[in-house]
Amino acid sequence: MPTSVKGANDLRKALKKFAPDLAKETQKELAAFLKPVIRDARGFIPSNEQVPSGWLVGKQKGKWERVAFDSGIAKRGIKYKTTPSKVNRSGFRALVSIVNKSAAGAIYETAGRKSGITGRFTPRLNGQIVGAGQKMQGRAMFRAWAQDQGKAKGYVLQAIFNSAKKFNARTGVK
Amino acid sequence: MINNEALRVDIASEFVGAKAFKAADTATVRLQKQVNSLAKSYLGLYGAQRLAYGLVNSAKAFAADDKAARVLGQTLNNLGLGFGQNAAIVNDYISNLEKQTGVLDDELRPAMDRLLRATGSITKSQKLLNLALDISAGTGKSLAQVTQSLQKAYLGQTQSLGRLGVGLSKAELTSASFEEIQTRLAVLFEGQASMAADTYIGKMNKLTVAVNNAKETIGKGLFEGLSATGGGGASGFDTFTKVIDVAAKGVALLLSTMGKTTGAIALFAQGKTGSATDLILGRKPADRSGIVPSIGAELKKAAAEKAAAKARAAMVKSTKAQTAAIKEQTALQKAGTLFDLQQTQIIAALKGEISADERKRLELQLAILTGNTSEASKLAGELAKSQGLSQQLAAYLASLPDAKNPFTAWKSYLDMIEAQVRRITTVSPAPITSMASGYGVTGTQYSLPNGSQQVSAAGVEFTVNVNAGSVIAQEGLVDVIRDSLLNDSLQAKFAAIYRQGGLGQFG
Repeated sequence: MPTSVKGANDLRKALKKFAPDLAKETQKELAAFLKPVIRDARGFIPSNEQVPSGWLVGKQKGKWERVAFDSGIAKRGIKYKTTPSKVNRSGFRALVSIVNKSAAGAIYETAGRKSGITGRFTPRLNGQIVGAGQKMQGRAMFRAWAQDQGKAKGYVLQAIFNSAKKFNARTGVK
Repeated sequence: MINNEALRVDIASEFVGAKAFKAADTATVRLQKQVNSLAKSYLGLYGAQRLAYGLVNSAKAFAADDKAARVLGQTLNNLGLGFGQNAAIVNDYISNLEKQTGVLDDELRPAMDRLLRATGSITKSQKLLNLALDISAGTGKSLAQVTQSLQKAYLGQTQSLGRLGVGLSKAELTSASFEEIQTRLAVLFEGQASMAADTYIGKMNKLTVAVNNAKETIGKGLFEGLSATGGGGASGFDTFTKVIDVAAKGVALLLSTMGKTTGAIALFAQGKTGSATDLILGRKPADRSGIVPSIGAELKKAAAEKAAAKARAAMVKSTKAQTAAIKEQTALQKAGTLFDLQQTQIIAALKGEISADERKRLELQLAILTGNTSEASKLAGELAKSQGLSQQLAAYLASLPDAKNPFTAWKSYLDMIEAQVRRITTVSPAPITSMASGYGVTGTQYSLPNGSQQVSAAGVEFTVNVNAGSVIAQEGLVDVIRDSLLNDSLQAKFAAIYRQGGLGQFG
C-alpha cells in the first residue's frame, strides 16, 4: 500500500522550477535508497541457462517472440521511477515507484503466484515467490521489496519531507 | 496480456481525486442550474395555483366555521337559551378559549354544543368544557372523546369516563355522584390545559389557530366580495349565484348557436336549404315524402305490427332454442357425471391392494370407458386366459388326493423314548470296583492300587495310594502324574484317549 503524500507533485514541480539544485539532490537521495533494492531484484533474475530453453530469445517465433526470455533484458527491465504516473481509477498518482517493465521479467516475476506451481512451465522456473498479499508477491522485484522490509520506503519518504523542509526554509514559507 | 502497470511497487503517491468525482461534481452543478431555471419558470404558475387553492381553502374554512356557529346558535335557541346576548357570550367565550388553549374552535364549538344539550346550562357547560380541556391535555385523548364521556357521565353513564383512564376506580365512578366526580377530576387535572398551552406544542397550536382564523377572515372577505358583486346585503350572494347561472346559460347558448350555425352552413352547402332553416329555427323537420298523412299513418302502423310479429317470432325461436340447449346441456352433464363417477371409482379401486386378476378386470373397464379399443381387446384376451388358467388350476387341485399327516410316525418314536426312560429309572447301579468301570468302559479293567479304599459309598471321597516312588509335596505328585500321562499318550493308552476327550483334568 503506497503512502499518500499530499502536495508531493507540487513540491516536485516547485523544486524543479525554483530550486533545481535541491531537486537534483533529492533525486540523488532517492536513487541511493532505491538502487540497493533494484540490485537485489536483478540478482533474483536467473541466467539464460537456468530457465527452460524453449523460452529463450531465438526459440520463440511469432506472437510469442515478444515474451521470450533474455536475462539481460529482464534485469534491465527492473528499475525505479521518480516521475509521476498517470492518475489511476481511484484517483491516486504514483510519485516514486519500482517497476518490472519487461514482458519476460514480468512472467518470471508472477508465473504461478495465483494458480500454483503446476504444469510444465512454472515448476522449471525455480525461484521463490515471496511477498505479502497476492498482488505484492513475486520472484524478483517483489521478493527484493519484501526482503527490504520497508526500509527503503521509510528513507524515500524521509527524503521527500526533508526536501520539502529545505525548500520551505529556503523560500521562507512556514 | 500482461499488465506491466500492475507490476509496480508504489512507494509514495498522491491523491488527486478520481475522474468520477469530478464528473459527478460537474453534473451536480449543471443539474442545479437547470433546476434553478425550472423553478423560476414554474414559480409563476405554481404561485397562481397556490393562490387559487388558498382562496378556496379560506372559503371552505369560513363556511365550516360559520356552519358550526349557526348550529351552536340553533342549539341555544332550541334549549331556550338563545335570548339576550347569550349567543354572543358563548361565541366570545369560545374565541377566547381558542386563543388561550390553542384548541381550534372547530373542536370547541361541537364540544360546547354537546355539553349544552346535556346540561341545558351555559355556566355548567362552560365549567365542563374547561374540565374537558384539562382532561384532554392531561390524558392525551381528543377533546371530542372527553366531552362525550363527560356528557354521558352527566347523564348517568360513567363507564366511558372510566375508559379514559382518569384515575378513578369503577367503584368510585359507580358510587359517587357526578358533582363528586367532577370535583375529583378538577383536582386531578387542574391547570393541565394552561400548562399545555405554554409548551412549545401549545404555542404551535396557537399559531395554527391564528392561521386558521386568518383563513376564515380571508374566506369571509371573499364571500363578502362575491356578495358585493351581487349588489351586497343579505341577498347579494344569491344575486351573485343567479348572475353566474345566467352567465353559464349564456355560454351554453353561445356554444349551441355556434354548433347550429356550423350545421346549417353544412346543410346549405349540401343544398338542403329546408333542413338548414329548420335547424336554425329549431323546428322539427317537415315531412317531405309526399305521402298522404292518413295513409302514412296506416303504413307506419302496419310496419310496426310487422316488426312486432317479427320480434315475437324471434323471441319464440330463441326461447325454443334456449330450452333445447338447456335440455342438451342437462343430458350431457348427467352423462358426464356418470362417466366421471365410474372412471373415478375405477381409478380409486386400482390404487388399492387388489389381485392381478381384479386389476386386469378394472383396467379393462377403464379402457372400455375411455374408448381405448386396442388396450381393451388386449386386456380382454389376458383376462380370458387368466380365467382359463384359474379353472385348470381349480380342477387340478380338486383331483389331488388327501395329503398324509407327516407326524403320524412320530408317535411310535415317542413311545420308544418313554419306555427307555422308564427302564433307566428302574436300573440300580453296581458298586464301583475299578476306575474304568466307573466310566462305563468295558474291556480291560484296572483294579485300584493296593491299600486304596472307598470311604463312603454314597459320597465322592476316595483315598488312593499311588506307588510313585518318593514324592514329597503335592507338586511332585502332579509332576509324576503328568509324566505318566505323557508316557501313556505316547504309548497310545486309553487313559490318554480320555485325557484328550476332556475327561481327565489336573490341578
